[in-house]
Amino acid sequence: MPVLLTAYRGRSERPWLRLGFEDLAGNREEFDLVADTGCPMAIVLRPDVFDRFQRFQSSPEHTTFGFLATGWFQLSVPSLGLMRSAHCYRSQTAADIVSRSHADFAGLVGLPILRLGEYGGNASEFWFRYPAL
Amino acid sequence: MRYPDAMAMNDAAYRAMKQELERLYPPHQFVAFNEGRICGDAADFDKLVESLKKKELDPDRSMIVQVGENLPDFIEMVLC
Repeated sequence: MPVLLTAYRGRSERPWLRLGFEDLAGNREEFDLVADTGCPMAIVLRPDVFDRFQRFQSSPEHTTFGFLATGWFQLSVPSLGLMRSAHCYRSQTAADIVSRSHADFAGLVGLPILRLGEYGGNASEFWFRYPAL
Repeated sequence: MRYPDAMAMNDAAYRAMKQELERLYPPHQFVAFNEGRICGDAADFDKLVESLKKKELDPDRSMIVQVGENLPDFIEMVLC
């Protein structure tokens, strides 16, 4: 089964995944997102990434970090065969927090995406397998 | 380009109809709004996007929601 395997990274070490997004014109780019199984949102993105890759707007949601814009994105991870729409949130505050751990982190990937497959970790690495067995 | 007025109109329509949507559509159905009105729905997100393209609706003036996502009114995030 295909798997993404990453060594924990950051000033305070975090599990993370490199996920791709595709805009409406078919342009694809990858971003490093902290994997947070406690996050009830599918994906939270840094505003500049959100604005570049949002395909459709959705309804804003009230959260701990304020009223956040939300939208639909095309998640694209060819190595896993993972291509699907994902509901994402736009948050500078969340982006600021994760980027303090490592400047490359552009947001978070939460439980709604992680539970599409199987995830786990050990002392040094985090992994995400897709599809689930 | 995004159109804040179009977004506000679509969002107001969605919030006014939120409970009705759950009565009218099956759970997880994707529903699109444009100019404050429902302009399409589908069980599959990509099929809905295709139908919006065929109708030549501007994606920047449209909004898509998923019925019965069961998200609370206030979403708590914990980050440290």
